[in-house]
Amino acid sequence: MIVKLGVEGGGGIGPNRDVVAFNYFCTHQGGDMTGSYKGDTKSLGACPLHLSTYDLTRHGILISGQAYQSLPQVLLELNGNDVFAVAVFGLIYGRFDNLQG
Amino acid sequence: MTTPYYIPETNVPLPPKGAEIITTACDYCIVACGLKVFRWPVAGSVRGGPKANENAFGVKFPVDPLGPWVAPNQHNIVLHKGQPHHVVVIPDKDAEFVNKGGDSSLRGGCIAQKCYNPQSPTRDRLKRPMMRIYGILQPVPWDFALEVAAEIGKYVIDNHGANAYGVKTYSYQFIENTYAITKYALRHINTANFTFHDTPSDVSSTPGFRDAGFDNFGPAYDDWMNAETLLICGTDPYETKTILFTQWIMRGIQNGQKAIFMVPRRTAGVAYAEANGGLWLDVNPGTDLLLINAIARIIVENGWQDKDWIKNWVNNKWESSSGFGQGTRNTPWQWRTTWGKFQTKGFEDWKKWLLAQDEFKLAHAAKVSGVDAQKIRTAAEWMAKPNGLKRPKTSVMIEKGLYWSNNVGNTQAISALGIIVGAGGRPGQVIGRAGGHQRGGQRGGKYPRNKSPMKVPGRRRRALDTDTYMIAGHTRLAHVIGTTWIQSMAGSQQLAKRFHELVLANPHQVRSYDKQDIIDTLKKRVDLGGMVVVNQEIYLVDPIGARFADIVFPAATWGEETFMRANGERRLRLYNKFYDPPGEAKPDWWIIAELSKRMGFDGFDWKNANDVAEEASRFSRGSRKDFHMIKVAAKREGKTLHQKLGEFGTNGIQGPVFMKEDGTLHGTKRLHDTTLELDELGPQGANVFNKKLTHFNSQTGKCNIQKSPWSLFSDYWEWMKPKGDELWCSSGRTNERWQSGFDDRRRPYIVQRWPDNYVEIHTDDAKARGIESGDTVMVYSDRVPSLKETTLGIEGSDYSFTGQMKAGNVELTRAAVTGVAMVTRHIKKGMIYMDFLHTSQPANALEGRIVDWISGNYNYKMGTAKIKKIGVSPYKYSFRSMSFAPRDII
Repeated sequence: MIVKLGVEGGGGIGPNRDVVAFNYFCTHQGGDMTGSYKGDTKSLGACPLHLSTYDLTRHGILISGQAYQSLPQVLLELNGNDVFAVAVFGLIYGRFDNLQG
Repeated sequence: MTTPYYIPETNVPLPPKGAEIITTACDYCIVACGLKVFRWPVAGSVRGGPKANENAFGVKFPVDPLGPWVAPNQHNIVLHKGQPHHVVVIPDKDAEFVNKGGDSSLRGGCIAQKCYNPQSPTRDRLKRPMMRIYGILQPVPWDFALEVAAEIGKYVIDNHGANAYGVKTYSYQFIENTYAITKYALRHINTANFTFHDTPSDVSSTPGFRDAGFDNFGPAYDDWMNAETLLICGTDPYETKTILFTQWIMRGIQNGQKAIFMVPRRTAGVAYAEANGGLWLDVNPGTDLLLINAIARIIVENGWQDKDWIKNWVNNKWESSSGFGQGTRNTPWQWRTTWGKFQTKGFEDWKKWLLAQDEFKLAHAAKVSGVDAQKIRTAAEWMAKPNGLKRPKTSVMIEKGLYWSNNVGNTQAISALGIIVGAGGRPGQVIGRAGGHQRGGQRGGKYPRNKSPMKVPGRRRRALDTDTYMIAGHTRLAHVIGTTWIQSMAGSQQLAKRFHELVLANPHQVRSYDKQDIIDTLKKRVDLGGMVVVNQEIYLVDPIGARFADIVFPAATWGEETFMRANGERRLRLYNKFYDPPGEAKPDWWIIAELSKRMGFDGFDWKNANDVAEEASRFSRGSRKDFHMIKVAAKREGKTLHQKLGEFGTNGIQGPVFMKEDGTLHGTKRLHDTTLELDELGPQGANVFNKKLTHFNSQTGKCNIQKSPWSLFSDYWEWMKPKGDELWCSSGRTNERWQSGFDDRRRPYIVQRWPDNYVEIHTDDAKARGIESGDTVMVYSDRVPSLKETTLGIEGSDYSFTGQMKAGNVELTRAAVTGVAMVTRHIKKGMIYMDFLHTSQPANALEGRIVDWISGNYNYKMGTAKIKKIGVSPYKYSFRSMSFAPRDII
């Protein structure tokens, strides 16, 4: 998922450095957090499985919960008006290697 | 140690098909999730692959949610038989109990990072015995360190008395270790100067439960799930016993359970309950008794109490006094001091007392506890109001937020409330502790309470207060095993100061290379009133080890030795060894045995941990962890006790354990199970039936309903109450950090999340003081009270706070701790909250070193302090570490 936070965030792009992107599978047991972004706390979650929440201004750090690592952040780059996803920080849930599966 | 910058990995080695699979359980919280260790050699560069037939899980990668995903934090490289091996430690996906299906918290989830790996932050594990020579801790051989320790130990006992030898130890780090330690300290040295990690005196943590007849860990996890109404006091299980919440209570709530939380902070579990038909009783620190008795009052005013249950299961006057010379005169609460203050003649007498206390009236209780009156009424209804003929099945869960303040009063009050709503003896209608640490204690000796100098008027001695005894200068040797002592006790900064005076400021310091010289120097130190410190640990802890210890013994821990322990529903498991301890580190039972032999104590010739366990088994008979029949079965089958228990894998077996006629073993689902039918022939063979199986732990087997007067505690509460600019200063755990952070400070992932101690403060309180999230704050007090000396009680109230003040036995000291402010909506106004055991910023420094005068436990949860901004922390404006978002986002 990609979101414009409205405040500066770690890894944020754009003139306000507030556009960030993350994988939305919880890095605890893989719960789907689609649609769980909360604008007041700039957070993703709570995961429907075990209630983990993540701070999207701070590189997807766990706020409260059981994740075994921070939420994988997608490194974004801006080229004119085009946004590119160029890398992922952290292992995506379910995989043993981000590229190999 | 590690820095607060965590670089997440993007791949992880998968265990190949054929990797060894070793079962164990987590080393952290009470739940003890079953874990599997997958181990394979580094040599050969073998890795598992993504196809199902290429990896040890037999599953295709990428895996589905709830599948056997391996996060990078779940992998490590250890030495096994001297050779490097990969280990992957994940929750057991085949687990049938506790963490069914293989869930875990992040604590157990990241436990692979606990393992000693010299290329990781665990490189500073203690590896060699050390002795402080010329002020520096220097490595010495085992024999050298043990001989000096034994010589000075014997000298202290012979010349200054057994009580001068103080032992401060963990109570939980595996049955084999605690058995050896208590056999040494209590049976052989027989010192009253002995206690565990979480209290200054060896006393019950839940005196009210003990008096009512409740075992702390009677319930089964099923019961917490199946209760229709669940009152949880003093904890959010989500934060500190996560799986108990996510796999059990949460499912209960999803099934319609009404969960009521009595805590001052709305963390994730509380928020979830509130959002799903539950209730948050946002209680002010120290006022739980008023709130509990207000609920009880509403129940009896409306006649909602469980009349049948009370009729059958509550002692009347004669029954609570019964005991053929035992009974009330010999119970801890019936000294002359407290005569008549707790005992009742039964329910009607208790009810009369309850209704006569104005302070339990709803308006007063609501005002002082800070909980809205309507919420209190709702709680009473949910817990007890019948629906036609049907009563709600109500259970009561307690933990330290409740009983680490007003220890006696709160536990008496909650026991009585539990009794009148019919909790305690039926499936789904239970009362008990949720638990903190796992249950790894087995006594190898009896505490010599008659040797304690502490006595309230009447007949009973109270266990010696080891903190006050040390402060008063009576401890000559402090043998500290696996605990920080100073930061985990109240008045930490007073304790540290006194350690310095007695240990370091004493003129007799070791400045010699000669063993006899060293021994003579330590003898001179103790003769001059000083203290010697011996520390058994896995890491060098500041200050007890790093600054004060004269001798340090390196200990082997979880995974480095095979051990036994039980969890919060008495589930015994084998915790298998799977890697080598660092350097020359040895398990604590071995260290104790070697010391004992040199001190001339017999009975310490164990060859391995199993020997210790097999000796200990008969002492467990009749207890909630009774594992003796596992040994009996093992011997019949030509196995060792460890081998037999190992056959149960992560399922384990719930204590007390019994053997059926056919020789098979079966466990016990719950204690106090009034619905359980025992064999009508009675216990067969070597089986032991304890009354607790089907009845309660009193002379008659019925419950004692006790009074809980506010006045026995209110003087301390009034004195401590915040005045002027002060706020209540409480502390506790937070989900992501375990205890002193001895492991978490060495996990970059966790250090990044919680680099320094935090101070949670409500938005309004912060605004009034000009504090923002991320500011560095000073939390300080000019009036931390502390007891000066162990006193003899003459008059009834001499031990009360007021009495101690009058006698001049209370000193007021200053304390200060820094932290990072977390301004948040999820904490009650009027209080701040810190991590209770950040060793470099100890919140306990601000808690009064005043014990509950009846039980001897500390009031950890109610300090008072002022708070001011002193600057800005590096976490305020950088994005790499910490988060200031609230913990109640649902």
